[in-house]
Amino acid sequence: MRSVLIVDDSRTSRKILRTILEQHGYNIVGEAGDGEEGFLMYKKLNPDYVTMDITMPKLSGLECLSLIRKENPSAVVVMVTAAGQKEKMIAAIKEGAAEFITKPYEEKDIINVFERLEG
Amino acid sequence: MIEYCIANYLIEEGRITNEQFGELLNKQDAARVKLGLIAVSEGLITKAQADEINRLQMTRDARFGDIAVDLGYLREDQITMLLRMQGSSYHAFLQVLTDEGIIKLEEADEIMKKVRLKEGLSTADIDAIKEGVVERILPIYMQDIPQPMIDLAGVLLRTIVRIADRHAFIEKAEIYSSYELKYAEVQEFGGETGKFVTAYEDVHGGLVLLASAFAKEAFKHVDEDSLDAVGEFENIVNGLYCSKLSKSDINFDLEPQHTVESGTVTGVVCVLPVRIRNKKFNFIVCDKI
Ligand SMILES: [Mg+2]
Repeated sequence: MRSVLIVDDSRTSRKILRTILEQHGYNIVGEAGDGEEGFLMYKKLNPDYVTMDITMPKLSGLECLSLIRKENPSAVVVMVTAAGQKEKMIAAIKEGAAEFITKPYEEKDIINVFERLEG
Repeated sequence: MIEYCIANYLIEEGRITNEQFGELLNKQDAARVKLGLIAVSEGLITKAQADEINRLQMTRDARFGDIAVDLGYLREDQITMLLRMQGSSYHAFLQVLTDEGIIKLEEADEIMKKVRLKEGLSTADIDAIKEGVVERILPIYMQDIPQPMIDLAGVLLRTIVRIADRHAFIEKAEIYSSYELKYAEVQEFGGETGKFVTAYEDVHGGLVLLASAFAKEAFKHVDEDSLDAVGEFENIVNGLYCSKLSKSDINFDLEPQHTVESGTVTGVVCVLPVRIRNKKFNFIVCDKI
């Protein structure tokens, strides 16, 4: 079973993602509420996938993405973030984000992206 | 949306209670027919096309009909016909009121006249509210409010209707130079050309309803959990607004949303009461801190 770490400062947002991914057979190994916690949990858990919000306190999703990719250049990080953050999305592509999903999303948007990642 | 104007009148006349109004809305919901469903059943578009439109609707701040026309699936005149077939929420609410024996159908015209006078609306205003056209309703309740704040309120109202509760409406907005926040969910966003602060504050239970409808979880109080859901909703609304701005090459950054137990916002502060079911919350937008 593929493992996923969810990084998002909103508990509601994490819960919605967890429910969708679990229903499709993914194992949620951890939830982090900010970028700092996200990076620490990534190092500890070494998950197959990370979902990453951008707008978060302490360390933003972009900073966390960059740290994770430095730690593991083949880390697969999916950005899941509010619309209207064009510049940050471009920055995330440069940092090696694997995919993007904009909020609000539907269940199938999430699953389509994960199916693509599975190849 | 018109149901709120009618309910205000009926409550004042003592013909229904606010509690009853909530139940009437539930009954109205049961009669809901989606535009996509009618379009598919009429053979105008395929199920796959309807699904595609619904998907796009989630990420674009646009209506089903507008997207369908954009994609070339439906013509404007077909949309008009579908909307007519769907039956306005005015007719749906009228149906429920007469079914429940609260009013007689013959009274409807007279009641609407009284509603119009009570709310101080023109017949054109009433038509806009009956049709639920957000762009025409906003100027009625947001006179002398700066345009960016009206635009933001438009995104909010459309997003509530789409992903939280289709029964949403607004009351008259007020401008203050300073406003005290109590237990509000706040987000700042902006860029070189400006900065906004938005806040969602409960009035009597509306914020809990918004949180519950959005997170699909039954919250009971304004607390850490329900405010978290409100914050994420706020983040999405502000993101959609930023996304509109980015089409004019304005790039705004969102700050993390957070709860303010008590605090003051100053500047041009617009307070817009939002009705959701039979409850209310305040949407506050300020153009500087
Ligand atoms: Mg966030």
